[in-house]
Amino acid sequence: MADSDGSLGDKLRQAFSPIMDEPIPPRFLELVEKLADGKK
Amino acid sequence: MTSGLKSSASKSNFEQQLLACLKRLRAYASSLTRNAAEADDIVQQTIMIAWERQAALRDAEAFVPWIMTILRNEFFMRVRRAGREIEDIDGTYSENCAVEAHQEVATEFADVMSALHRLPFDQREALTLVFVDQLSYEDAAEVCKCSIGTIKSRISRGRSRLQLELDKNNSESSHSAAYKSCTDALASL
Repeated sequence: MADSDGSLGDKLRQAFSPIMDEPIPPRFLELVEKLADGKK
Repeated sequence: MTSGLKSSASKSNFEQQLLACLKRLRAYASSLTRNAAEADDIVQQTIMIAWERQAALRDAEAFVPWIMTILRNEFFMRVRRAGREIEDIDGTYSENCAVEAHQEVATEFADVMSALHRLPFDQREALTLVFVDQLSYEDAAEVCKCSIGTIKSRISRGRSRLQLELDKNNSESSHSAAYKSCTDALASL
């Protein structure tokens, strides 16, 4: 990681916690699985 | 269905890398678009493009900057198609997005997200790639098609401006609180 110092970086990471800490929406998992199965 | 997903052992290396990168792709797309629905549409398109082009990925270790670049190109293509402006140096568009940001990110960190959304595009992008998506300066520079020095400069200016925006938010909040306190006191007379 290039820059991890300071609380500003922590605040930024926390601001994205709804995306980074929550499960991946099923639509994306299903899409990847379909692609892997050659259905798309 | 997630319950029907294959075990990681049966997944290809590419598939595993793609799945591991999805949250970072969503964060990056969210920062670029400042709109959750549009961000997810771009991520979906990015997944499909990356899958089609996976043979072009020569170095598996370069997967993250490679797919981030695909996402970025997809974002710019949509912007061009819609005839929108990318540069938002004066923050006019960002100001208009501030309310939306507050509505969409219903957390205690909404102020940080709102402040980030008010930054110029290049600074917002660099901060997200390095701090949130944890890319090295080198990889961030590759994604943004600029030099490492430029990325460092954008990070530096972005950090300063983000702090200013946050200070401004805090100042406005304390002024509002003081004003409310005064009006409450006057009302009770």
